[in-house]
Amino acid sequence: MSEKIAKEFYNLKKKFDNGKVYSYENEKKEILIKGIANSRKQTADAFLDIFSNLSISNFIVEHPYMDKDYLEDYSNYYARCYTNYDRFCLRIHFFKSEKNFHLNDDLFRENLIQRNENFENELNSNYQGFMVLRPLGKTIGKTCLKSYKNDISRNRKYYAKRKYKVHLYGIKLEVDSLAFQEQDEAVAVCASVALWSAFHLTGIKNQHKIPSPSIVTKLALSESSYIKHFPSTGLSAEQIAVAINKVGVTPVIIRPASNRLAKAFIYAYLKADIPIVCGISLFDVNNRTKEVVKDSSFHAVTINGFSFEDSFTEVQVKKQGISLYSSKMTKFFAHDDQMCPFSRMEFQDHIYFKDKSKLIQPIKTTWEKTEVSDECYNHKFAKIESFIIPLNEKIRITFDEVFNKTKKINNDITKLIHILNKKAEEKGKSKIVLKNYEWDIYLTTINEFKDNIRNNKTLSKEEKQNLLFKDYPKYLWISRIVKQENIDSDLIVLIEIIFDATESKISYIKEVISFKGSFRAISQSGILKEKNYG
Amino acid sequence: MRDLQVKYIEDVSFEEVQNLIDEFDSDEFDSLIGAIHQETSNEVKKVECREIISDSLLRRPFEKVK
Repeated sequence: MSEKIAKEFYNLKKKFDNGKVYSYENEKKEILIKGIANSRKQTADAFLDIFSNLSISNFIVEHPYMDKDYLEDYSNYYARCYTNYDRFCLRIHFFKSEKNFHLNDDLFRENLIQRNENFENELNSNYQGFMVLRPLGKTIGKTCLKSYKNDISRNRKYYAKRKYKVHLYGIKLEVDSLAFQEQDEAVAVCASVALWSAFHLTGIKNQHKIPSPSIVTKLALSESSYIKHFPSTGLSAEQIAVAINKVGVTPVIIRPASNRLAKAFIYAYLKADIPIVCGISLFDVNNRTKEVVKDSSFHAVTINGFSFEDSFTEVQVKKQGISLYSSKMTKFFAHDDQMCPFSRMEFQDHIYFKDKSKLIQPIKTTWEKTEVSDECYNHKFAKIESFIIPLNEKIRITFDEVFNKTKKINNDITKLIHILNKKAEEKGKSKIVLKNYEWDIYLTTINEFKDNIRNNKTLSKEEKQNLLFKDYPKYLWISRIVKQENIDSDLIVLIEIIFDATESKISYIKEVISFKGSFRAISQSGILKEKNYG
Repeated sequence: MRDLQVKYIEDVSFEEVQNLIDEFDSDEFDSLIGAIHQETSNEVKKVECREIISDSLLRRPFEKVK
């Protein structure tokens, strides 16, 4: 029976020997992709793209492999089905080649039996991650593939990731990633899987157990007595919040008021390595009329990175009050359980589509259209419906509060500079202006904050020492004025204002660090005095 | 090209800014700061960064994409 259910899985198992090193090319590549994607073109294309970007040159298939998450799902659901489901998975390990390192079967076997530290180091540095395939209809289980390299020139960064330790026949390997898996329609659809990915990070940061996807579904539905757990039909934002609470983390549910603020939220929380579960609606759009043509699907993904590629500086307009550095974000990356890890979503800042009587500011996805009409765009668009952010309970101040406080501080500083400028003119001195600046607002930890202080090249030794020896709360909100000539150039920080994120109300400034002499004089003028910000 | 008569604030030294502040009488400067704070609290309106999530949206399940 199981042979029928997972034909591709068993074909794959037959075609690859356990422990043999295969070259990722031609025939083997085709068999592998077919086994992974199970004749789903969109998934096949997505993984072909990923493997190409990761420069995969070899792979090793490990079977039988016992996967903890699948085993939990198996005992929660599959073990009690009449159909004889297999308990064992297979795991594929991916490697790239380098100038002096070309993996092959003989080399691998020789060094596996006879320990060779140099070989293991080389193997580790060329290790690109693994993928578990489950013996089910949809096969992709726990997958930890390296994110693409952080690209400074394109300002592409992946924040929400961690180290995964892997043992390959006794060889210790490591990969920097965030776990991904495909949705399993029986025990966990998109919301459970998106949350499972997020828990892989919050579990490490907040020391909670990382539940398997089926347990995530059970936790989420534990307060909804009227819904059966399996087969899973999807979770709502409210149920996702229940699961987050049950593992001991605090959920914050946000519906950003605009794409500008969505960027600000993504930027602010991801900088603290906090993954964001994002609820989106996906729809097809008519290219001619610019109208949404199909009822939208409601989907959940886990945001883990962003890019500022091809961005421009936000024009400061009175209504917005301040220019935000985060507005430079042009794309974000998310684990999409029906697509692939690190799936790309692009903000379309100057396009609006009509949805009945409303205008939608869309996000371009890599989803292929479902509408057959030639008039439709080839890909689907998305709209952000909600963010569900799993926060440590100590983080009590939200982005909104810091944003509004920053607007006030910005107003005060610009007014003071205006007054000083007038005085300079009176005295026949050069005019002083604060121009082309942006506010960079983000959450951080004390460790990250002090690490940045240590790396700073502007502060004096004494200033650094004073800041490093000072005690701070574990979580801090940073609001700083930055300047950047263009996207490739260094970010120049003028002043950094620090708030205690663990306070119940944003009442005072914890610290002000002036990176320029002029701002030191401004901060000492009394304009930032805490009593004035109560 | 920057106008020679205009300096960006980051290019101005601590002493230059301090000298400008010292041009004011200390009480006068304190009351200027007080006035700025007062103006700010009147001028800067709180921005709602998030919309209220309706109960129906909160309870709508995320499902398989069709």
